[in-house]
Amino acid sequence: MSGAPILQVENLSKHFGVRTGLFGRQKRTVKAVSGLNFEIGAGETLALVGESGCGKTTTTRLLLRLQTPTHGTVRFDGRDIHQLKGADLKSFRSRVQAVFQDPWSSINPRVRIRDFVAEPLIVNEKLTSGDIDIRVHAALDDVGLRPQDARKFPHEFSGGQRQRIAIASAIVTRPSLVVLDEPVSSLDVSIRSQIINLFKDLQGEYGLCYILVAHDLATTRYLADRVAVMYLGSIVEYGATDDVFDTPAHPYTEALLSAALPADPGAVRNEIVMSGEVPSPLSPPDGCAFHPRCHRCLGDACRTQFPALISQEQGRAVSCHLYTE
Amino acid sequence: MAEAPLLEVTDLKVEISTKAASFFPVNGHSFTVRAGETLGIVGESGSGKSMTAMSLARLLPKHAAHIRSGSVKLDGRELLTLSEPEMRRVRGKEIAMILQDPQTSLNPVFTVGEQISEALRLHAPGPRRTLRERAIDALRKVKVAAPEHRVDAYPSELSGGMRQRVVGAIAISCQPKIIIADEPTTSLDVTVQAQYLRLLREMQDETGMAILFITHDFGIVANLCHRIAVMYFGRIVESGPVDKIFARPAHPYTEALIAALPKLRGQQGRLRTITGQPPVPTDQIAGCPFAPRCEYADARCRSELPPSVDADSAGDHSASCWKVDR
Repeated sequence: MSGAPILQVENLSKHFGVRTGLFGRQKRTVKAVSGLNFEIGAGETLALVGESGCGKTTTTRLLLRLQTPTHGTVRFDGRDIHQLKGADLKSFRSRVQAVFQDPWSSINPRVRIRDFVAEPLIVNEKLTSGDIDIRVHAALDDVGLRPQDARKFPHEFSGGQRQRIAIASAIVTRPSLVVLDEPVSSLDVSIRSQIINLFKDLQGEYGLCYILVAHDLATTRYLADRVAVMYLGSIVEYGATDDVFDTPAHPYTEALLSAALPADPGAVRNEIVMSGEVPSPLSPPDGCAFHPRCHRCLGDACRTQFPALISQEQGRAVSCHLYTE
Repeated sequence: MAEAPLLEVTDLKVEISTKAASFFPVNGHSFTVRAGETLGIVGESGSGKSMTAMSLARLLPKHAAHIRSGSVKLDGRELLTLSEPEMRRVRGKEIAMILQDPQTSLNPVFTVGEQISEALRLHAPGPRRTLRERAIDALRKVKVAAPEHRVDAYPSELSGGMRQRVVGAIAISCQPKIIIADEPTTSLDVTVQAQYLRLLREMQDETGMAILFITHDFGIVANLCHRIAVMYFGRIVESGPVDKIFARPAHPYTEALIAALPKLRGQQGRLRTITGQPPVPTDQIAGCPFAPRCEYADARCRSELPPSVDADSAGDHSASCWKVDR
């Protein structure tokens, strides 16, 4: 990590109230994410991995200030983003951007590419029309599109090109942090590597930080410097990507990685079979949330005590009773 | 190779004609699947892989798409000339399908048990109570926990993985000879996907059924399939045993696709890319359809369509390319 972290997340939690039962008479709480701690330095990529419902998307929405946390803080450049107002908020909005999964639904089909890409500039910065054009053309050039594409409409482009347009719109304000939520999973295989390389190039050129949410573990391994494995709203393991992939410490990480299918018929897989499915976040298990499916469950300790996320050497952290004294 | 193939598709052509254009999303396929074998059909969107699946079960939209030529033989019996009532007896009983999205392939207003017994009632009628028992049995086979309770559940009460198991239960309930699975795990988590693929393999070992697995995911192909057919622009451009195709891809498209994948075991440097975009089915391309994106292409590639040729002397690996010996 180089210098001070750009983003610091401390004890971040988000709980949703839901009504269940007949006519919604029962009020209950879903702890979508609880007690997250992590930070990202300039030019770094942090990946959030886990099964659906583990809180990845809620986390990114909290970081983008699309949702208010129940507890905890998100600091961007040292300031709590949920306290920002006025000009500071505008500056935050232009310095933090996002690219979403589906370029068919994330781009307004009725506006020209120039206007779509320029939107964050128009909203957040005061520029003349000529300056906006210069910035839009520069952004299109960065993502490998031509200046004349600015006059076209979204339907004139293929999926891969649309994702390039979405990326141009995300980088046009010269952000420091871009949230990538499944950025290549809706693209064809032959297009994916182009876009993945583009993310790497942009990061090298502008020192961008990425927060990556992707279910494809090979893509995650390729793009991320560090990875946070989430299970039922909590981080269960955290560390440098290569360390976590090569020597997973938490039994859940082990099982999750063993489920990934290498594109190699000769590869030896020792698949760890997790029993059952992810429990409902409405009624999470006592103790360690993973213990009912765990192949290394120790017994009473796992069933009754929640394991804290304990730091180990080399920036690694694991929340598991196997690693507590 | 001695025994006759279970499914034999020869020169299948499907035409879609609209007011604006007419084109062939499936343009002269031939392939076979033997009993107990899994054939993976790999391709990108628009390559015609789902159209192939639909035409085998004769489920193409009636007015827009037509099978123009070819033959589809299941156990030696021609399917393309069957009448609709005859075909209805084949569907579900001999050919079963598992589609991508269990959300839409199950009916939300009927219980799981009712939907499994519907297939059974059509092909092997019996009293209501036996049908229910057989539905519970089918759920047990796809490893649904507590099948006696789940049989009365509605699809909305089940998770995505569980729903896809129910679709699997419907598919195997009549002991089909072949299952056509069209991207059945795309909407599932990796962990659930791994469980589901293992289940398919176990069912295959038990019943000896064949599987035609349609996917864009080389990870699945490498782990599940015996043979692969790679599709591009409505044609099979390469087919062969899975280990040969991964070790020595004969078609430049296959080679480039495999090279473009990030590796799970860690990787240095930039990813290989394929330039350009995949063609859409309405494009008109002279010569080899991959030539505009191919690094080996020359003048002949751009003007003449390459025939399918053997990639090695064993005769089980072929590719449609002028530069097989590159």
